[in-house]
Formats: sequence, C-alpha cells, structure tokens
Amino acid sequence: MAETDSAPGDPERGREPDIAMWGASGSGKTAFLAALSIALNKSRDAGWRLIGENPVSRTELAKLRNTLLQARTFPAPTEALTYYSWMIIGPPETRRRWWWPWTALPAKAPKIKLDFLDLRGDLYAESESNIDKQALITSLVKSRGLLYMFDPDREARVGDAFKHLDAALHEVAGRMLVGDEYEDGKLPHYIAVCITKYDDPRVLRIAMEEGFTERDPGDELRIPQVPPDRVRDFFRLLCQESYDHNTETILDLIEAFFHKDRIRYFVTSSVGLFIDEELGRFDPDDFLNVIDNAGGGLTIRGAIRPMNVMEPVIWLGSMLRPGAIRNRPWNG
Amino acid sequence: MERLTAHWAILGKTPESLDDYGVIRCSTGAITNAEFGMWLKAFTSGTMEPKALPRVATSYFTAGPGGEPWLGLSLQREPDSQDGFHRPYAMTYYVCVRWADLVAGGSRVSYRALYEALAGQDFSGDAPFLLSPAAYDERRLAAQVNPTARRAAALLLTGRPVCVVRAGHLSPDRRLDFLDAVAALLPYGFRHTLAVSTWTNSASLHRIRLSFAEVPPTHGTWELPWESDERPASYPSEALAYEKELERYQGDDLGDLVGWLGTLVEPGDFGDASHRAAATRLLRGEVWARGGRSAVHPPRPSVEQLLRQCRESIANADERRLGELTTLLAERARGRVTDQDRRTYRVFVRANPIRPPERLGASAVLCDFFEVLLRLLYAARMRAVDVEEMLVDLGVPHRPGAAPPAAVLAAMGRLLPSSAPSGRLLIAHLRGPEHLHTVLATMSEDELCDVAVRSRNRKVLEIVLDEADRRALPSDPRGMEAVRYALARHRYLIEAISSVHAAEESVLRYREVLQVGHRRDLTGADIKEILADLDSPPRTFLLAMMTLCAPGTAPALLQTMAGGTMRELSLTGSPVADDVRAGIDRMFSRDGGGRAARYRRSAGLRRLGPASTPGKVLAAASVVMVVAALALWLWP
Repeated sequence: MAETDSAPGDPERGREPDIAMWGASGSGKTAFLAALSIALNKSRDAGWRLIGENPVSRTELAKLRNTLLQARTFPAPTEALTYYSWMIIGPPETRRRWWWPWTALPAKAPKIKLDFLDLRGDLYAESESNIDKQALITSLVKSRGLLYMFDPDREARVGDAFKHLDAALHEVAGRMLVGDEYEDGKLPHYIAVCITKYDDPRVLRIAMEEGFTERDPGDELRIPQVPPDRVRDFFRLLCQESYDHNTETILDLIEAFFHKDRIRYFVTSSVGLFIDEELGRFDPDDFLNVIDNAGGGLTIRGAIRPMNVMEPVIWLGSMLRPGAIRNRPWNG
Repeated sequence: MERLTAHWAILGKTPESLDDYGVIRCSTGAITNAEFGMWLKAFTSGTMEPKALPRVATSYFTAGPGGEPWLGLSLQREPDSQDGFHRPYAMTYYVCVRWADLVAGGSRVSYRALYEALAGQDFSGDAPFLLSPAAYDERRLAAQVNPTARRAAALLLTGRPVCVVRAGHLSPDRRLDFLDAVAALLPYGFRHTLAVSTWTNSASLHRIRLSFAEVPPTHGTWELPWESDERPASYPSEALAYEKELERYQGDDLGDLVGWLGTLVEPGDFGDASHRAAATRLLRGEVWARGGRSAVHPPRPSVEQLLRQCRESIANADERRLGELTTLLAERARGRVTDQDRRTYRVFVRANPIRPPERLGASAVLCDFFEVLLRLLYAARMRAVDVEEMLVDLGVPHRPGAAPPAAVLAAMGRLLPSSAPSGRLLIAHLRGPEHLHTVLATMSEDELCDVAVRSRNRKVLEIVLDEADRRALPSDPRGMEAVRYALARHRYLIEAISSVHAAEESVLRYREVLQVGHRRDLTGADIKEILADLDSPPRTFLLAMMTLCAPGTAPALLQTMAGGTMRELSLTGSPVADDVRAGIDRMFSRDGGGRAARYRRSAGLRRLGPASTPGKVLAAASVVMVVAALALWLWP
C-alpha cells in the first residue's frame, strides 16, 4: 500500500476558520473584510486595531486596505477559498480585583483571534461533487461563526440568495445533525446576518420610505440608521422585494437551522454614505459614495465610513471567545 | 512532434453580465462544459491580481468513464472589461490534451511549447485544435536550470508543494521557463500530477504544487527564496540526495540528463511516497520500483563535472560528498581513458585549481581523491615528465622549497611502486630525503645512469649525479669503479645533459660527470679511455675535458681527438692518417730530426738553424694556435 501524503489544496492542512463568509457572488463579502480594518480604526471606542497573524494574512490585509483607501475601488471577485488569520486588539482595559477594588491591575488589551474564510460566491451553488465545494462544506462544519451577506441590490436583479444558502445549508446540516451530537436539531453556529450595501440608493430608499430609519441624536452627521430591533423586519421586507420568490423564505430557513439567540441582524455598508464636507451632514439628495468611473468600473467618491462592519465581527468574536472581551455597549 | 488534438475552453464573463465566472465557450466532444468549468476553477491560483497577469498555469484531471488522464495549460490575460457589478474580470484561455497522446511517440512537449501553441490559437468555433507544439528541446531546458530549479525539483519529491518567493522581478516568461526547467528535472511522468503556476495567492486554498508567490503560505509548503543558497529549515535527506544527484550534471551533461528524464513517461504521482522514492533511485541508476531492474540508466556525468563537484566538496571540506564523488571518478579512471582525454582533464584541472583547505590535511578521503585524480590525469606508469606536469597542473609554485599539499604527496606515495623509475625518483624527491634515499638504495649505478639518460630531465639528472657523487668516494675504490664504468657505458650522460642544458651549463655539468668518474685531473690514459668510445663528442664535452686535463696531456688529447676523427671518417691506415700523425709529432717535437727532418726534406725546405729564444716562443705559440685550430676544426 503506497503511503499517500496530503495533496496541495487539502483543507486538512492545519487551518480551520472561526468565521466563514457566506453569501452570493458580488454580495460584498471581500469588501466587508476590506472595510473591517478601517471600521475598527474609526470606531467611536478608539483604540481598536486589526492585524494579520502571519505574513500571508498581513499581506492580504494590506492589499485589501489599499484597495479601498488608495485605489478607492473594490476588491476583485474572489476566485478561490481564501483564508485570513486576523486578530482584533482592543483598547487596554483597567482591571480591579473584586476583593480589593481600590488598586488597579495593569491594563490588558482584549484580543480576539479571528480566522475568516472568504470564497467565490457561486461555490455555494455548486454541486456536491465539486471538489472545492467539499472543502467549503468541511470548513463550514468546522467553523462556529458565520457572516451571512445578503445583498438587496443583487437580489433585486439576480435573486440567487436562496439558491446559494439553501443547498449549502442542507449539506452542512446533513453532515452535522445526523448524529447525536446536536440533540436539539439546530446547527451550533453563531450567525451574523448582514444586509450589505446600505449605501445603495435602492436599499436606503426602501429603508427610509418604509419607515425603518431613525436619526441618532448623538450623530452629528445625522445619518439615517435602522435600529437594531428593527433590522430583522427590514431584512424580511428586503427578502420579499427579491427577484426570486424563494428569497422570502430565507429568514425562515435561517431561523429553522440556527438557534434564534445565536442569530443577529445588521445593516451594513463597507464604505458608508457620502457626506459633503461643507454641509457636514447627511444629504438625502447627495449621498452616493460609489460612482461609475471613466473606465466603466466603480470609484469610492468620498471618505470611507464603514457602517456596522466592526459590530458583527466583534459580536461573533465575543461569542466564540467568551471572556476575551468584557461587556461593551455594542456587545449587547 | 506530431500534431496533438487539444480540447479547449474559455473561462470568464461576458461584459455587463451578472453571472459568476463560467465557461463561456469551449470545444465539443470529450469534455463537457461543466467539466471544463469545474477543473478550471479547481486549479485557480487565487483571486486575480492585475500585477500577476498574464498568468500561465498547468493542471491535470481525469475525465470520461474510464477516468482518462488529461493535462491542461491555461493563460489568464489582463482584464479589459467589467461585469454587471462594474468589477473587472479576466479571461482564461485553456487547452488540454490526453496524457496518452502527450507521451505517445518519441518526442515530448514542454510547458513552453504548449503555451506557445495555445497562444497561436483564436479560440473560435467548437472543434478541438490540432496543435503542433515545438519539439522537446532538452538543451534549452537545461539552459534554464539554476540552483533554485534543482532545489525546487528536489523539494517536490518530498510530497509538499513548493512556493518560490522573492522573485517579483521575474517576468511571466521567465517564470514559465523556470517552471518548465523544474519539471524537466523530474521524470516526465510526474507531469501527470504536477500543477504549476507563474503566480499564486498564498491566502487562497489552491492545488498548485509549484508556483511563485509574494509570500509563502503559512502551512505545509516549502518556501524557496529565488536564487538563495540558504537551505530550507529541516531540509529532508531525500531532497538533498536528489539535489546532489542533479548537481552532478552541468552543460551538455545536463541536457543529456533532461533528455533522458523526458523518456521516463510512466505516470508518477507526487502524492505517492513510493513513486517519489523511485524517482531518486532512478536518478542514481538503481532499481526502478515497478517492474524489476530498470533497463535504462541516467547518463553518467562527465569527468569534468565530477571534478568540478570534487573541487567544491574539497573547498567546503565535505568529506562525505568527496568520498561519493571519488568513487564515481574512480570508475571513470578504470575505464578507457585516451591520451587526449588526459590532456583535456589536465587542462581543466589547471584552469580550475584544486586547493584543499588546511583543515582537511592529509585525510584518507582526500588522499584517495588525489590518487584517483593522478591515475586519471597521467599514464599508469608516471614518468618524471608526468610528475613535473602534475606539479604545474596542480598549481604548485615553481620555487625552491615549494611542495604539493600533503594529501597529494601521500597520493603520490601510493603511486610510487607503479611509476617509471624517473617518476619514482621525482616522487621520492618531493616526499623528502628519506624517501629518496630509500628509492636510490634499490638502484644500481647502471640503473641510475640509465634513468638519467632516458628521462632527460634536469631534476632527475641532478639527483643521479648527486647520488653518483655520493657513491664514488675515493675511499671506496669499488664504488668509484662502478660509477666510472656506469658513466662510461652511458656515454657520460651526454644525451641527458645536452638535452637539458645550454652551452655553459653543459660544460659545467660534463666537468662534474668527469670529476665524479675520475676524481683527479685527467691523464693521457684517462683521455684515451674517455674518448675511445665516444664518436663525435660534443664540443662542450671536449671543453669540459680540457678544463680537467693534467699537465703534458695535450699531445694525448690531440692524438686521441685526431684518432677519433679519423676513425669516424674511415681514414685509419690511409696515407693521410700517417701525415696527420707525423704532423702532430712534429708539433710536439723539440728537435728537427726524425720525422720532422724527413718532412722538411720531402717538402724541399731549407734546414733551419737552431731556434733563438724569440723563435722558441714563436714556435710554442704557433703550436698552441695549431692545436686550438685543430680542435676547433675537429668539432662537429
């Protein structure tokens, strides 16, 4: 019997993602990751940083940042299963002993280690015989956090979100729920459902017209936001607006397979809305931050202000690494 | 190369499309659109980066009910359009051929040949292409091989992928040539499962086994810096062995090796350790695991290549490697080596001096090497001239006291018994007085003179004369006699001395010979004895004799010289001979009687009165002048 070594590309090579990206092609998975570092830097709770854990991840992080900040465009469509080993480091927190609270211990920075799996969106819809699909499903089974990207713009035009979610979800469930390990019949993952491209006029208009938006009195820019408790309903509405009627069932599908308390909904935008510097606040007539350029591609027009990009990641991180981060306002 | 049927596909998008990457056009027949799509995506190198384009990659897959193996090559070009999401996309052009077609017949196809054949197609219609790739050019492939390529080939045989880094300055063309060269350093059958790419993204999970990348993947891949001497950490012995085997081949030898490896088409699987081990054994000329002993063996590296590697091993004090190479060199030395070969090798060694570091000293391995080297470079029976050439070849400085390295001396000692006498003498001399004395003690006076005459070597002559001088002691009449007779029998070493010394040196050297042989001023009897058997002695020899002649021996010298000349001219017994003798007598007579008077009478000359003192002086001067003139005339 010949001894056989692992082939190149074998997923069993020592890397297992904590968090897998899930979403159709063009739904903004890679752009979301590219914006994560910027979002952390710009967060109100200053001092957050994103670093690569190894040279590969550092290089990729730099490339993604440069794509947004320097080239002022979006990453190219992902073509292969791609791993990023990143770490989020927060501002140092002062600690005290419960039994002697008058003396502070040396400050300690919270650290969340996050391994992301990015992939080409169409892989979710491939047949099970596809060798990359097998690797993807294996990774999903071994991961415990999911960032599910739902692109309302794409759904309105293509409508393939259900197809991408349904097939892969059943395969993962088939692998995980057949045995006795999960007796409640639910997948053990935490899933952050992210409605992407909030800066897209179609999405923002629905949110505003359907009354899902509110203004945060503390926000000087007066950007309309969807309150956390209304995001789920907004998501359901967007699913109903889809090109594909099956999309309506996505929310039910998610809640059928995952514990409700392990699902959280976010409205996100990787680049945020355009704010005229002279006006200094949101202008409903001039908020497009992504415009066509002369070459037919897309260009980011103004400052990049990621919306709800950091929050789902921090939430997943705190769920997957309990104790790494103490309670914070965005941590519920 | 015969024409190859190639199926093809284009992976990409159409402008403004909302679809994902897919096969937008392909040939019909053996492979379906879905199969093309799956395999093209399966062998992606990572998310497209404009700076990495154009990208060339190879892939392999099986298709059809029988799992027929195929080999493919793709070219991904720079993007020039955007999809419906305003994102640029790149088109990938792909051809694939049946493995069976690729290895049928005698010729092979390189990646470059396949790439150029692909680049010449227009990818229209739906019929497979008929490609006419260029013939497998092993010389060109060998020319692309560098140390990085050797190491990459060796590392691939560990079963882990290899990622070449710090090569951002290389063009895609150069990268493709490198990948081709690496593949060419492995049995051709391994291309059956070899996927290579001019670029990969290390964050991506890909199936590329050999590629270039900006940074290496974190796990499970060999990081190979471009043109770096630094070996990877924990470099496996099997890889080292393969790399060392490859290093034995350079230039034309390497071309021969690449050509030979191209004939080994049995499919090899990088994932199978037994296949990988078989490749190493094959290169060593050992048993091929599948099917008993191999009928084929790798081309042997040339002697020059072996010498070059030996030189490197010596410089690095790598005794283990030197031992292996010496074994190979010894095999070559045992084979037929022509004089022309020996000259070629000597020129090589002279141009590439071998200078052992001091720390090697006279290690047994180094001595073995030099012994083999000397056997290879010089005839089996080393002569003095060989030894002297060897000193030049090995770069021993030409100055007094300069000696070859200890290991060379030791090797020479081993060769001493089989060497010619002259070679023995020189070798022993180089090894030191004790060794020389040992050798000289075994040689008779005759043998000494014989080797001096035969070798016609200045150093040998010097050794022989020193030894003769030592043996011909006045206190040892028998020794003197033996030396004198030996010198006489060997014509006083005239042939040796005349061939290695110029005029003045010759006179001095002949005088030395005569002194050793006689240990006194030459008497008339000595002169007759010396010149008796010498026909036409060189003028320098006669001058040397003159420097040693005892008083009153001029007539004897003149008469002996005249006698010798007459014998040589066959005038002995003729009237002329008588006249000459009479003339000589007259020259040396003190009165006018006797023959002189008769001469004068026959000549009709008037009788001269008794000579006055000035007359006597004049006569004596005339005699000297006549003798000198005669001597000069007699010189050949």
